[in-house]
Amino acid sequence: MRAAHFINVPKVTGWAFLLLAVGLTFALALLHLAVGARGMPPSVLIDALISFDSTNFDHRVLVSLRLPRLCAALLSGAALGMAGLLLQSLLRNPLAEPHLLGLNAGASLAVVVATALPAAIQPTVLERPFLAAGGGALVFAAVFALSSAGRLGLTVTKLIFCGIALSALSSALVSAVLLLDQETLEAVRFWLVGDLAGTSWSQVSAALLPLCLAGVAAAALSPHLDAMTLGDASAAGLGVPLKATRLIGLAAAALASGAAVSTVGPIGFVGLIVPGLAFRLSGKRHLPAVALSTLGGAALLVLADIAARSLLPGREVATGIMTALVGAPVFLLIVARRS
Amino acid sequence: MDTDTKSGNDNLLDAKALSLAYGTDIVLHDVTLAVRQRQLTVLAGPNGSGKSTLLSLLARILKPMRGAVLLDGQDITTIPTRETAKRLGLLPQTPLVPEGMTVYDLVSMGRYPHQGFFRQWSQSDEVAVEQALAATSLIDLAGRAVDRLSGGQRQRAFIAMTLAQETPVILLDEPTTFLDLRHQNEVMDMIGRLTSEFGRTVVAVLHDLNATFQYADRIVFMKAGRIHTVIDDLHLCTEDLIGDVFDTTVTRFDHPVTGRPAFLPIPHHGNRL
Repeated sequence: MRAAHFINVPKVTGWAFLLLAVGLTFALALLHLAVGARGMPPSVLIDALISFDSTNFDHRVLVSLRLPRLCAALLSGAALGMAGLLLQSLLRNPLAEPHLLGLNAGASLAVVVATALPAAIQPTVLERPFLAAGGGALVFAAVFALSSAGRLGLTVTKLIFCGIALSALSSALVSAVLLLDQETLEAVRFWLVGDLAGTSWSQVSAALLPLCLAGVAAAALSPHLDAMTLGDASAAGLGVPLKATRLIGLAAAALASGAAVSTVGPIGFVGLIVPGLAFRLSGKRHLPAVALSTLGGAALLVLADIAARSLLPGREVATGIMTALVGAPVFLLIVARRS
Repeated sequence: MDTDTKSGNDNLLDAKALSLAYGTDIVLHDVTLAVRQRQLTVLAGPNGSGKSTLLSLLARILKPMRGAVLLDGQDITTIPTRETAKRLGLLPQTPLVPEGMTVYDLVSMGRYPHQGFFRQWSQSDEVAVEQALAATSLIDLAGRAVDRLSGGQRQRAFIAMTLAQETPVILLDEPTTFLDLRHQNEVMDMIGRLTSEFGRTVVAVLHDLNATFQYADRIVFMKAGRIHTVIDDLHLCTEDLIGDVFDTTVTRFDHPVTGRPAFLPIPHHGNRL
């Protein structure tokens, strides 16, 4: 029985889109570096990247201000795209997203509380993403427990409502901490609306480890997630360890969104827009979808940051506001299409 | 009427004194069943009799409160889930059909337990998928989206997936529900071939009593969470037995073509033609 040649369906499309996404991200990254209060011709850009001259003012702006900001946008966007894909697949719900499910709010609360702690016991920059992940995981656990309670069990509507309610509660707690503590307010006020201005190399490098951990987990879980698209019973019949997959997958999502939140603040909707599209374009296979969603998230956040810096002449809008401007209509569109 | 006399060692799949309750609601009470190899065993009985629960326990989807399911003599809860999936396949009642997934990709999913992080898609996987597609006459539909198929074709595609899994035992949960007569026949024929042609051991929950009698090697009647009767010689099944299991009245006749018994309900308020 040799029939493979005519029944085999091409599986390259996902990887082709991936290549395209790499190119797009790279182009956006270059544009991101060139755009700003001080315009820079491409030649300066290439110069600074190839032969850095510390006495050149343009070079220093690029390397100490714009490059870390670009890396923050890339890393955080990637993390949000990855977290969104994991959540959407694990919960089988296109509306599952770190911001809507309370992960971002929990992470913010953890970071703000930690910032308000006395200096002696404050977590280091390297510990911050993990702390944020812990906060996000806690609030999400509460969201999950609350929405699973009751006779009907877990429903999509309850999940989203509980996510929004507990996010609001976390935000209220953040406000309470900030009202009581002026110093913390000064330290986090721009960060809290998702502002990428002033991100430092140390923050960016701190996000790298949790993001890599989440990435490895997401890649390793991909075949399980593929089988789980057939439903829990089928997946269990195929030998998928359901509980472990869910637990590790949600932990990876929390880790990724913690990395993003601790770097650029609670930025919403990146994890909503990108994963659904990535999953479709990858032929509904999780391994290419994880890669595509990660790249797509990075590209989208870089794009949002370019818009945030260039839309109003001479002024900057917080990047989180830009993603919300695009994301909120997409959210409504998905809701409308589902009902 | 036959009781189980075979020793446990001859059986791949063995249910030993299974009990399950939700709160105070006992859904399965002390059920012992030795599944015979290369036979189609049908679990039959009224709604809520525990037949689907028993199948879920056999498939390790549910865990028993007491008792154990033995697979090759080993407690199924102690076998790694991937290892179990190489020996025991399951077609659940309502599997999800991912939008746009092709028949080929669905059947490929059956190879999941045979793959690992370091053991990727191989020649043997491809051969298994092709054989499963051929066995279910789905080669021409391999590139089609599963959600575009008819109910019968779709069910055949899922059966092909469990065939590609290459497990000695296959469990089917109401595989013909929602199908019209033609598709029901088509799927039942396929299930019959699983044992006769492919040597698999099949346990199926079926609602249609007459389809059950035309295809089964053995019928396990369940009622109120217990095994009521196990029938190996189908000719020994009486009107009284069916009437007692389902709390209704039926009449028996023998199928003019297969010679197997069939049962028709006796209407309480019907008129003769």
